[in-house]
Amino acid sequence: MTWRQATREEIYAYYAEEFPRYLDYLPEFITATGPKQYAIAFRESHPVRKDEVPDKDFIRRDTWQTDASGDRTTPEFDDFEDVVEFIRHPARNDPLGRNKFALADPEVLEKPDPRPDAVYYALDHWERPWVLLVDIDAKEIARDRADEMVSANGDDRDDDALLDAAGILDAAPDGYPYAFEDVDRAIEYGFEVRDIFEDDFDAEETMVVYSGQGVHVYLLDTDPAHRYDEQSREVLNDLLLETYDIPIDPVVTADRRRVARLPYSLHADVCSIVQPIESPAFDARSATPEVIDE
Amino acid sequence: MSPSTPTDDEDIAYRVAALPLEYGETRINQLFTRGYDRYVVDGEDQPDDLVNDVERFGTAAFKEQVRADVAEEPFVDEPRTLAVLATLSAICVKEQPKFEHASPRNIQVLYDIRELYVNNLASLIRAHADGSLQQDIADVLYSKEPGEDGPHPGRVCTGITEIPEFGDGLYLEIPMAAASRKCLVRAEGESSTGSDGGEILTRVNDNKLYVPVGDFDSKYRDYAERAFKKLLRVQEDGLSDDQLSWLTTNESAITERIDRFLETGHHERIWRNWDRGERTIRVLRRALSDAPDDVAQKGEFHTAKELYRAVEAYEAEDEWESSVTDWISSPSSLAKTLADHESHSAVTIDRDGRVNTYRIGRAGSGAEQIEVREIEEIFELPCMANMEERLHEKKPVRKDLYNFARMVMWLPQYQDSSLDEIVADLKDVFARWPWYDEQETEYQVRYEFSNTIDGDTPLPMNCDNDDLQRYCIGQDQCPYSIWGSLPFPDEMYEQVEEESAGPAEQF
Repeated sequence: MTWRQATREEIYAYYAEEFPRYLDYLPEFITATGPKQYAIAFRESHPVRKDEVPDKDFIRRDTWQTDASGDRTTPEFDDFEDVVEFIRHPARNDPLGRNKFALADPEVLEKPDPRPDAVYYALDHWERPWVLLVDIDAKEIARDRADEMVSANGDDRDDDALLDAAGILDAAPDGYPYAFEDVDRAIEYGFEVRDIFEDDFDAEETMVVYSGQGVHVYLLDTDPAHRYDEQSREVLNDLLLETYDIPIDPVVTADRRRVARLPYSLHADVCSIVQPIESPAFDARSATPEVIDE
Repeated sequence: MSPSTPTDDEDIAYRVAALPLEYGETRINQLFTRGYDRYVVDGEDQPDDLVNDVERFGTAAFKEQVRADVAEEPFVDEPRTLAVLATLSAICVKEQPKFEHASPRNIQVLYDIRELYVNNLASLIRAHADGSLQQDIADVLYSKEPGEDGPHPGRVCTGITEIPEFGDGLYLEIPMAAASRKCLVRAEGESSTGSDGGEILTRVNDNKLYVPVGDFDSKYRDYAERAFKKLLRVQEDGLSDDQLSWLTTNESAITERIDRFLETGHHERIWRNWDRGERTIRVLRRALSDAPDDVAQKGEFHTAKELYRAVEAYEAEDEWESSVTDWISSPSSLAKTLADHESHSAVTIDRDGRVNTYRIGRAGSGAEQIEVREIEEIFELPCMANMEERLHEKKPVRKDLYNFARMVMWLPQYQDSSLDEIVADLKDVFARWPWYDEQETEYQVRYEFSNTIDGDTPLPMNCDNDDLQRYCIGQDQCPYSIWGSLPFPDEMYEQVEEESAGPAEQF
């Protein structure tokens, strides 16, 4: 079990050796051409072709070229292999090609091959309605916990001081702004939300994904009764937060432009594989890839 | 077959009356036509019946109890008639010469008419029992703005039902896919971590929201208030000048009731949000009148604490008085209010002692008092004596007449008199002058009385008025002052500083 940042080499090894083995398990709606975008975050900013444009530590790439009215014309990735190639060598396989905003040509760089610290896909989708995802973050749970433990005596310290005072920074995992118990609590909340989706919102297709530092809960039914637009999602957020008392991040659910961590991608800050999970008993400490040396 | 209209189909008439903001002028005019049809018997118009009903509706609207009762039991039994009577009543009010320069949003009587309309409409809709109309209304009240996915297909409200597991009461059923924050009803008056206040009362089941029906009622009242504005506009646009003048000529009950409010100084029945300082001082006067003499008296100096005790003991009679007694929360807040309104002619503050003392009374001018039993006694004022003399030589200019008529009108003995009595007495006075013509004087006096300034009864001129300077012997020479010497009632002084500052609501 490792709770540290993955090295460049480990990231490369994960996407070269281990990640391809999981592709058959990807949720069906995650295909080369379904999500409207894929996105990659880098640990260090990477230059682009045009000199005046600032270096990028986060890039979004459309899965389709579109015409003036926004309709699909030509796909950017022929199959998921192309997406995998883009994830493994983003600069070499940038769909933007020789466009001036594409990542800079590896041939001319000292550090030619940026590695993805995180990989995302867009919740907005070409072939199905906008994917509904609720985000529960262990960091938020830890902060609330620290607030309750420490702030009762009325001081208003900043987050780190608060977490420190509550003993959370010292608890395992060392140096992270949450303790393992906060991750475990996030996972429990995730399954509570799944039950709410199934019991009160008539959902048949749900999924809880361990996200590295919390969970994502999906409501995947696509029938008209479950096509929640932004306004319906705001209502869902308010209900989850207030009626059901679940500490979610409401911004994520109701923002169509959001990207989510790709299942089976590597959360490189914690050496954890993002993955669908089946039970609140899931142990986050078991999510370390094989390629990571303990 | 031509499509049904509100003129020939009762269900559509109900729908247009319930949701006029969703319809154009044509449909609303068809609703009015259906309403007017009720005043046609055997092909003959019954205009007297219409005017009687308009007067009955308009005058009933001024009674608080009637307005409240109507929420339970309709006063008018059909929406088409309600639409006609409420709008025509409001037009009778708006057409009054005394409101000519007033903004409708400051006229309280229009709000009273609207309240009677809204309450009446709500109870009519409740009585129209099969629920489909309520469902139509809920579709409008709870519909969301079209989003990126386009409008929600299908009904917003799919039922009105009881859900035993949620407890007593009816709930509106709204599918989650049609939901917006409009559907999240919150408890009032509770603090909560929620962004908008109290606990969420809307429930969830079966992928649907269940909204307590009480929320429908309050949302619909807001809607109906806006609906009334539209109905009124369409009615106003639709009436010809002849119809309008026929209506205002034949209506008298509403006008008389408003005149009576004005004559008896019930400004709060006529105007909204009249000046806060004025209201405070009026309540103080009433509180002092009610207080035992050993507690506090009008015209005497008292500490803020003594005045506050009188206010505390005062039993407010109506809403505006309660709002005043509510905001006077302590002796110090009273002291501050009085300091803020020190320039008011009725407020005198003595700061010489250890604690400040306050006198609420008439303006302390020190002027010699004149008791006026007969109008002629006004001529004791040197300026009025000068005018009297001049009027023997020349016809009056309009300002002179105006001044004279206003001064008389504010005298206490004429406060409860009819206009006819005042006119008769004034004619007796005017008859002394050589230019007197009975008809002309009668017309001129009545004209002055019908004139208002932004809806307020105009004040008599005071000594600083430029037009009076022609007759003035010089204020420093004169032992009198017009406002200080004549026995004008409190209401006159209360109106002195009255300013109108209404809310942004409009008709």
